Amino acid sequence: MTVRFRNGSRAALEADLEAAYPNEGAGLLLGHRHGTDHEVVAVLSLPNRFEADEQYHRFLLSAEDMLAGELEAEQRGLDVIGVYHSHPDHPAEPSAYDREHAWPWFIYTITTVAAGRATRTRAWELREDRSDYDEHIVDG
Amino acid sequence: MPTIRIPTPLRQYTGGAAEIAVEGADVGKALNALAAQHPALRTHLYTDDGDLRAFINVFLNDEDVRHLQGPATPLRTDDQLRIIPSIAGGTLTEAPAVYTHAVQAGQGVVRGLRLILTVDDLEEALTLYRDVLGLPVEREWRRLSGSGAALTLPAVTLEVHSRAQADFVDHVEVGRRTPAMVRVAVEVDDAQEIAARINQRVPVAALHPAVDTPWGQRNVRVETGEGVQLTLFSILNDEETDA
Repeated sequence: MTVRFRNGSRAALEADLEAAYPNEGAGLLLGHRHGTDHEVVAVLSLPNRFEADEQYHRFLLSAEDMLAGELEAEQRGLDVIGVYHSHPDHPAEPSAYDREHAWPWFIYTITTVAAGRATRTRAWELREDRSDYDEHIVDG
Repeated sequence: MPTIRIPTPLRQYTGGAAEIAVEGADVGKALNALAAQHPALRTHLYTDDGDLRAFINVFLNDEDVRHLQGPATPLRTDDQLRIIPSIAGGTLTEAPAVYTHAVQAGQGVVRGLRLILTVDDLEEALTLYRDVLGLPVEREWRRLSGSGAALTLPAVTLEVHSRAQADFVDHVEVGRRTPAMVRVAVEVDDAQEIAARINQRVPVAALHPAVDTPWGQRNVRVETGEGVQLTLFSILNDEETDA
Protein backbone atom coordinates (compact mmCIF):
# COMPACT_ATOMS: atom_id res chain seq x y z
CA MET A 1 0.00 0.00 0.00
CA THR A 2 2.05 2.87 -1.33
CA VAL A 3 1.71 6.43 -2.52
CA ARG A 4 4.45 7.27 -4.97
CA PHE A 5 5.13 10.87 -5.95
CA ARG A 6 6.54 11.48 -9.43
CA ASN A 7 7.35 14.44 -11.68
CA GLY A 8 8.27 16.80 -8.86
CA SER A 9 4.76 16.53 -7.45
CA ARG A 10 6.02 16.17 -3.88
CA ALA A 11 8.07 19.34 -4.10
CA ALA A 12 5.12 21.21 -5.59
CA LEU A 13 2.86 19.97 -2.78
CA GLU A 14 5.31 21.08 -0.08
CA ALA A 15 5.84 24.49 -1.68
CA ASP A 16 2.09 25.08 -1.83
CA LEU A 17 1.56 24.14 1.81
CA GLU A 18 4.52 26.25 2.98
CA ALA A 19 3.01 29.21 1.11
CA ALA A 20 -0.30 28.69 2.93
CA TYR A 21 1.33 28.65 6.38
CA PRO A 22 0.29 29.50 9.09
CA ASN A 23 -3.05 28.50 7.59
CA GLU A 24 -3.98 25.06 6.34
CA GLY A 25 -3.40 24.60 2.63
CA ALA A 26 -5.04 21.92 0.49
CA GLY A 27 -5.38 20.59 -3.02
CA LEU A 28 -5.93 17.54 -5.15
CA LEU A 29 -3.69 14.59 -5.89
CA LEU A 30 -3.89 13.70 -9.58
CA GLY A 31 -2.65 10.43 -11.00
CA HIS A 32 -3.59 6.78 -11.11
CA ARG A 33 -4.52 4.09 -8.68
CA HIS A 34 -3.40 0.50 -9.30
CA GLY A 35 -5.08 -1.69 -6.71
CA THR A 36 -3.67 -0.54 -3.40
CA ASP A 37 -0.77 1.37 -4.95
CA HIS A 38 -1.09 5.01 -5.93
CA GLU A 39 0.92 7.11 -8.32
CA VAL A 40 0.73 10.89 -7.94
CA VAL A 41 1.65 12.48 -11.24
CA ALA A 42 0.65 16.05 -10.39
CA VAL A 43 -0.90 18.10 -7.63
CA LEU A 44 -3.46 20.86 -8.06
CA SER A 45 -3.56 23.63 -5.49
CA LEU A 46 -7.04 24.87 -4.61
CA PRO A 47 -8.14 27.79 -2.43
CA ASN A 48 -9.04 27.15 1.18
CA ARG A 49 -12.63 28.41 1.28
CA PHE A 50 -13.16 28.02 5.04
CA GLU A 51 -13.90 31.22 6.97
CA ALA A 52 -10.69 33.23 7.06
CA ASP A 53 -10.22 33.30 10.83
CA GLU A 54 -10.70 29.52 11.09
CA GLN A 55 -8.18 28.60 8.41
CA TYR A 56 -5.42 28.06 10.94
CA HIS A 57 -7.09 24.71 11.72
CA ARG A 58 -9.73 24.05 9.01
CA PHE A 59 -9.83 23.75 5.25
CA LEU A 60 -12.67 23.51 2.76
CA LEU A 61 -12.50 22.81 -0.97
CA SER A 62 -15.67 24.19 -2.52
CA ALA A 63 -17.78 22.28 -5.00
CA GLU A 64 -16.97 24.80 -7.75
CA ASP A 65 -13.23 24.42 -7.16
CA MET A 66 -13.57 20.62 -7.02
CA LEU A 67 -15.41 20.74 -10.35
CA ALA A 68 -12.59 22.79 -11.86
CA GLY A 69 -10.15 20.26 -10.45
CA GLU A 70 -12.01 17.33 -11.98
CA LEU A 71 -12.12 19.03 -15.38
CA GLU A 72 -8.41 19.78 -15.20
CA ALA A 73 -7.68 16.17 -14.30
CA GLU A 74 -9.80 14.88 -17.18
CA GLN A 75 -8.08 17.22 -19.61
CA ARG A 76 -4.72 15.82 -18.51
CA GLY A 77 -5.88 12.21 -18.68
CA LEU A 78 -5.51 11.78 -14.91
CA ASP A 79 -7.83 10.73 -12.10
CA VAL A 80 -8.43 12.65 -8.88
CA ILE A 81 -7.03 10.04 -6.52
CA GLY A 82 -7.01 12.04 -3.33
CA VAL A 83 -6.54 15.22 -1.37
CA TYR A 84 -3.48 16.78 0.20
CA HIS A 85 -3.53 19.20 3.11
CA SER A 86 -1.32 20.52 5.88
CA HIS A 87 -1.37 20.51 9.64
CA PRO A 88 0.50 23.66 10.68
CA ASP A 89 2.75 22.82 13.64
CA HIS A 90 0.85 19.62 14.32
CA PRO A 91 1.37 15.93 13.67
CA ALA A 92 0.54 14.54 10.24
CA GLU A 93 -2.24 12.36 11.62
CA PRO A 94 -5.96 12.54 10.79
CA SER A 95 -8.09 14.31 13.36
CA ALA A 96 -11.64 13.46 14.31
CA TYR A 97 -12.71 16.36 12.09
CA ASP A 98 -10.71 14.92 9.19
CA ARG A 99 -12.38 11.54 9.65
CA GLU A 100 -15.85 13.06 9.84
CA HIS A 101 -15.38 14.68 6.43
CA ALA A 102 -13.31 12.07 4.61
CA TRP A 103 -14.34 9.88 1.69
CA PRO A 104 -13.36 6.23 1.42
CA TRP A 105 -11.11 5.36 -1.54
CA PHE A 106 -9.42 8.77 -1.63
CA ILE A 107 -5.85 9.04 -0.39
CA TYR A 108 -5.47 11.85 2.12
CA THR A 109 -1.91 13.06 2.56
CA ILE A 110 -1.22 15.23 5.58
CA THR A 111 1.97 17.28 5.83
CA THR A 112 3.27 18.87 9.00
CA VAL A 113 4.41 22.41 8.25
CA ALA A 114 6.53 23.38 11.25
CA ALA A 115 7.40 27.07 11.55
CA GLY A 116 6.76 27.52 7.86
CA ARG A 117 8.73 24.51 6.69
CA ALA A 118 7.19 21.30 5.34
CA THR A 119 8.57 18.37 7.28
CA ARG A 120 6.77 15.05 7.42
CA THR A 121 4.13 13.78 4.95
CA ARG A 122 1.98 10.77 5.73
CA ALA A 123 -0.73 9.15 3.61
CA TRP A 124 -4.03 7.79 4.88
CA GLU A 125 -7.05 5.99 3.45
CA LEU A 126 -10.36 5.91 5.32
CA ARG A 127 -11.72 2.44 5.88
CA GLU A 128 -15.04 1.59 4.24
CA ASP A 129 -16.81 1.45 7.61
CA ARG A 130 -15.33 4.88 8.50
CA SER A 131 -13.99 3.49 11.80
CA ASP A 132 -10.34 4.30 11.19
CA TYR A 133 -7.66 4.96 8.61
CA ASP A 134 -5.10 2.65 7.03
CA GLU A 135 -1.70 4.23 6.52
CA HIS A 136 0.11 3.94 3.19
CA ILE A 137 3.86 4.15 2.67
CA VAL A 138 4.92 7.42 1.04
CA ASP A 139 7.57 7.09 -1.64
CA GLY A 140 9.34 9.85 -3.53
CA MET B 1 -30.42 10.01 -22.44
CA PRO B 2 -28.85 12.29 -19.78
CA THR B 3 -25.58 11.06 -18.31
CA ILE B 4 -24.15 11.29 -14.82
CA ARG B 5 -20.39 11.64 -14.27
CA ILE B 6 -19.32 9.69 -11.16
CA PRO B 7 -16.50 10.99 -8.91
CA THR B 8 -13.57 8.62 -8.43
CA PRO B 9 -14.40 7.61 -4.82
CA LEU B 10 -17.87 6.38 -5.83
CA ARG B 11 -16.82 4.40 -8.92
CA GLN B 12 -16.21 1.34 -6.79
CA TYR B 13 -20.02 1.20 -6.40
CA THR B 14 -20.69 1.45 -10.15
CA GLY B 15 -18.44 -1.38 -11.28
CA GLY B 16 -15.75 1.14 -12.13
CA ALA B 17 -17.94 3.12 -14.54
CA ALA B 18 -17.09 6.82 -14.71
CA GLU B 19 -20.16 7.87 -16.66
CA ILE B 20 -23.64 6.34 -16.56
CA ALA B 21 -26.66 7.05 -18.73
CA VAL B 22 -29.94 7.29 -16.80
CA GLU B 23 -33.58 8.03 -17.54
CA GLY B 24 -35.05 11.01 -15.72
CA ALA B 25 -37.11 14.07 -16.53
CA ASP B 26 -35.43 16.02 -13.75
CA VAL B 27 -32.33 15.90 -11.57
CA GLY B 28 -34.06 14.18 -8.65
CA LYS B 29 -35.47 11.39 -10.84
CA ALA B 30 -32.12 10.85 -12.59
CA LEU B 31 -30.27 10.49 -9.28
CA ASN B 32 -32.89 8.07 -8.00
CA ALA B 33 -32.55 6.04 -11.17
CA LEU B 34 -28.78 5.95 -10.63
CA ALA B 35 -29.21 4.69 -7.05
CA ALA B 36 -31.69 2.10 -8.27
CA GLN B 37 -29.20 0.84 -10.88
CA HIS B 38 -26.37 0.77 -8.32
CA PRO B 39 -27.88 0.30 -4.87
CA ALA B 40 -24.54 0.51 -3.05
CA LEU B 41 -24.44 4.17 -4.05
CA ARG B 42 -27.60 5.11 -2.20
CA THR B 43 -26.16 5.35 1.29
CA HIS B 44 -23.34 7.56 0.03
CA LEU B 45 -25.69 9.91 -1.80
CA TYR B 46 -28.65 10.14 0.55
CA THR B 47 -29.32 10.47 4.27
CA ASP B 48 -31.73 8.14 6.01
CA ASP B 49 -34.42 10.77 5.42
CA GLY B 50 -33.91 10.58 1.69
CA ASP B 51 -32.19 13.96 1.31
CA LEU B 52 -29.00 14.41 -0.65
CA ARG B 53 -26.04 14.48 1.76
CA ALA B 54 -24.67 17.97 2.45
CA PHE B 55 -21.27 17.24 0.97
CA ILE B 56 -22.78 15.84 -2.25
CA ASN B 57 -23.06 18.52 -4.89
CA VAL B 58 -24.72 18.05 -8.25
CA PHE B 59 -23.79 20.13 -11.27
CA LEU B 60 -25.84 20.36 -14.44
CA ASN B 61 -23.56 21.22 -17.33
CA ASP B 62 -21.17 22.89 -14.89
CA GLU B 63 -23.78 24.77 -12.85
CA ASP B 64 -24.70 23.81 -9.29
CA VAL B 65 -28.35 22.71 -9.36
CA ARG B 66 -28.84 24.50 -6.01
CA HIS B 67 -28.68 27.68 -8.09
CA LEU B 68 -31.27 26.29 -10.52
CA GLN B 69 -34.36 24.42 -9.32
CA GLY B 70 -32.64 21.80 -7.18
CA PRO B 71 -33.95 18.25 -7.66
CA ALA B 72 -36.80 19.66 -9.77
CA THR B 73 -34.40 21.04 -12.37
CA PRO B 74 -35.58 19.61 -15.70
CA LEU B 75 -33.19 17.55 -17.82
CA ARG B 76 -32.77 17.28 -21.59
CA THR B 77 -31.44 14.27 -23.47
CA ASP B 78 -27.96 15.69 -23.99
CA ASP B 79 -27.52 17.07 -20.47
CA GLN B 80 -24.62 15.90 -18.32
CA LEU B 81 -24.84 15.78 -14.54
CA ARG B 82 -21.75 15.63 -12.38
CA ILE B 83 -21.62 14.49 -8.77
CA ILE B 84 -18.94 16.54 -7.04
CA PRO B 85 -17.90 16.03 -3.40
CA SER B 86 -17.14 18.90 -1.04
CA ILE B 87 -13.92 18.21 0.78
CA ALA B 88 -13.08 19.50 4.26
CA GLY B 89 -10.74 18.69 7.10
CA GLY B 90 -8.56 20.16 9.80
CA THR B 91 -6.49 19.58 12.89
CA LEU B 92 -7.55 18.63 16.39
CA THR B 93 -6.55 21.87 17.94
CA GLU B 94 -8.96 24.54 19.01
CA ALA B 95 -6.22 27.02 19.86
CA PRO B 96 -4.41 29.20 17.36
CA ALA B 97 -1.10 27.87 16.05
CA VAL B 98 1.94 28.42 18.21
CA TYR B 99 3.86 30.10 15.41
CA THR B 100 2.62 33.21 13.64
CA HIS B 101 4.03 35.14 10.73
CA ALA B 102 6.72 37.64 11.58
CA VAL B 103 5.69 41.17 10.64
CA GLN B 104 8.36 43.55 9.47
CA ALA B 105 7.81 46.73 11.47
CA GLY B 106 9.81 49.36 9.71
CA GLN B 107 13.58 49.96 9.55
CA GLY B 108 15.66 47.83 11.93
CA VAL B 109 18.63 49.43 13.67
CA VAL B 110 20.46 46.12 14.27
CA ARG B 111 23.36 45.42 11.91
CA GLY B 112 24.39 42.13 13.53
CA LEU B 113 23.70 40.00 16.58
CA ARG B 114 26.22 38.28 18.82
CA LEU B 115 25.20 35.69 21.39
CA ILE B 116 27.74 35.63 24.24
CA LEU B 117 27.98 32.63 26.55
CA THR B 118 29.99 32.92 29.74
CA VAL B 119 31.81 29.65 30.37
CA ASP B 120 33.95 28.28 33.19
CA ASP B 121 36.09 26.13 30.87
CA LEU B 122 36.84 27.79 27.53
CA GLU B 123 38.62 24.78 26.06
CA GLU B 124 35.70 22.53 26.91
CA ALA B 125 33.29 24.98 25.30
CA LEU B 126 35.46 25.18 22.17
CA THR B 127 35.57 21.40 21.99
CA LEU B 128 31.78 21.42 21.94
CA TYR B 129 31.02 24.30 19.58
CA ARG B 130 34.15 24.42 17.41
CA ASP B 131 35.22 20.78 17.25
CA VAL B 132 32.08 18.65 17.58
CA LEU B 133 29.49 21.04 16.14
CA GLY B 134 32.07 22.33 13.66
CA LEU B 135 31.24 26.03 13.89
CA PRO B 136 33.85 28.01 11.92
CA VAL B 137 36.14 30.21 14.00
CA GLU B 138 36.01 33.90 13.22
CA ARG B 139 38.69 34.69 15.77
CA GLU B 140 40.16 33.46 19.04
CA TRP B 141 42.05 35.42 21.69
CA ARG B 142 44.07 34.60 24.78
CA ARG B 143 44.96 37.56 26.98
CA LEU B 144 45.80 38.05 30.59
CA SER B 145 42.67 40.11 30.84
CA GLY B 146 40.52 37.33 29.43
CA SER B 147 40.11 34.80 26.63
CA GLY B 148 37.44 33.88 24.20
CA ALA B 149 36.47 32.94 20.70
CA ALA B 150 33.94 34.08 18.16
CA LEU B 151 32.35 31.33 16.08
CA THR B 152 30.17 32.00 13.07
CA LEU B 153 26.70 30.55 12.69
CA PRO B 154 25.08 29.62 9.37
CA ALA B 155 21.58 30.92 10.04
CA VAL B 156 20.47 32.62 13.20
CA THR B 157 17.07 33.57 14.50
CA LEU B 158 16.39 35.27 17.77
CA GLU B 159 13.25 33.78 19.26
CA VAL B 160 11.47 35.34 22.19
CA HIS B 161 9.14 32.98 23.99
CA SER B 162 6.58 33.59 26.69
CA ARG B 163 7.08 31.59 29.87
CA ALA B 164 4.14 29.39 28.83
CA GLN B 165 5.76 28.68 25.44
CA ALA B 166 9.09 27.88 27.11
CA ASP B 167 7.34 25.58 29.58
CA PHE B 168 5.55 23.83 26.71
CA VAL B 169 8.81 23.16 24.85
CA ASP B 170 10.53 22.09 28.08
CA HIS B 171 7.78 19.59 28.78
CA VAL B 172 7.98 18.18 25.25
CA GLU B 173 11.81 17.90 25.27
CA VAL B 174 12.56 17.14 28.89
CA GLY B 175 9.30 16.32 30.64
CA ARG B 176 9.65 19.19 33.10
CA ARG B 177 10.27 22.89 33.31
CA THR B 178 13.89 24.05 33.23
CA PRO B 179 14.99 27.31 34.81
CA ALA B 180 17.19 28.67 32.03
CA MET B 181 16.37 32.06 30.54
CA VAL B 182 18.39 31.36 27.39
CA ARG B 183 18.40 28.18 25.31
CA VAL B 184 20.56 27.45 22.29
CA ALA B 185 19.01 25.23 19.61
CA VAL B 186 21.11 23.93 16.73
CA GLU B 187 19.81 22.09 13.70
CA VAL B 188 21.82 19.01 12.69
CA ASP B 189 21.25 16.07 10.37
CA ASP B 190 20.99 13.52 13.20
CA ALA B 191 20.31 14.87 16.66
CA GLN B 192 20.93 11.59 18.47
CA GLU B 193 24.26 10.97 16.74
CA ILE B 194 25.55 14.47 17.44
CA ALA B 195 24.40 14.26 21.06
CA ALA B 196 26.35 11.02 21.39
CA ARG B 197 29.45 12.63 19.89
CA ILE B 198 29.19 15.57 22.27
CA ASN B 199 28.81 13.19 25.19
CA GLN B 200 32.06 11.46 24.24
CA ARG B 201 34.06 14.70 24.21
CA VAL B 202 32.64 17.04 26.86
CA PRO B 203 30.81 16.52 30.15
CA VAL B 204 27.24 17.41 29.33
CA ALA B 205 24.17 16.19 31.13
CA ALA B 206 21.71 14.45 28.82
CA LEU B 207 18.45 15.66 30.25
CA HIS B 208 16.16 13.29 28.42
CA PRO B 209 16.19 10.66 25.67
CA ALA B 210 15.48 11.92 22.16
CA VAL B 211 11.91 13.11 21.60
CA ASP B 212 9.92 13.25 18.36
CA THR B 213 8.11 16.56 18.74
CA PRO B 214 4.60 17.44 17.58
CA TRP B 215 6.20 19.92 15.17
CA GLY B 216 8.04 17.26 13.21
CA GLN B 217 11.53 17.30 14.70
CA ARG B 218 13.67 14.87 16.67
CA ASN B 219 15.09 16.80 19.64
CA VAL B 220 17.73 15.99 22.23
CA ARG B 221 18.26 18.39 25.15
CA VAL B 222 21.55 18.51 27.00
CA GLU B 223 22.83 20.82 29.68
CA THR B 224 26.43 22.04 29.56
CA GLY B 225 28.64 22.44 32.60
CA GLU B 226 27.60 26.10 32.90
CA GLY B 227 23.93 25.24 32.76
CA VAL B 228 23.38 26.26 29.12
CA GLN B 229 20.33 24.49 27.76
CA LEU B 230 21.36 23.11 24.38
CA THR B 231 18.77 21.57 22.06
CA LEU B 232 20.04 19.50 19.15
CA PHE B 233 17.25 19.04 16.60
CA SER B 234 16.87 17.33 13.26
CA ILE B 235 13.95 17.52 10.87
CA LEU B 236 12.09 14.23 10.64
CA ASN B 237 11.51 12.75 7.21
CA ASP B 238 9.22 9.90 6.21
CA GLU B 239 11.82 7.21 6.81
CA GLU B 240 12.32 8.24 10.40
CA THR B 241 8.95 7.17 11.71
CA ASP B 242 7.96 5.31 14.78
CA ALA B 243 4.62 4.26 13.27
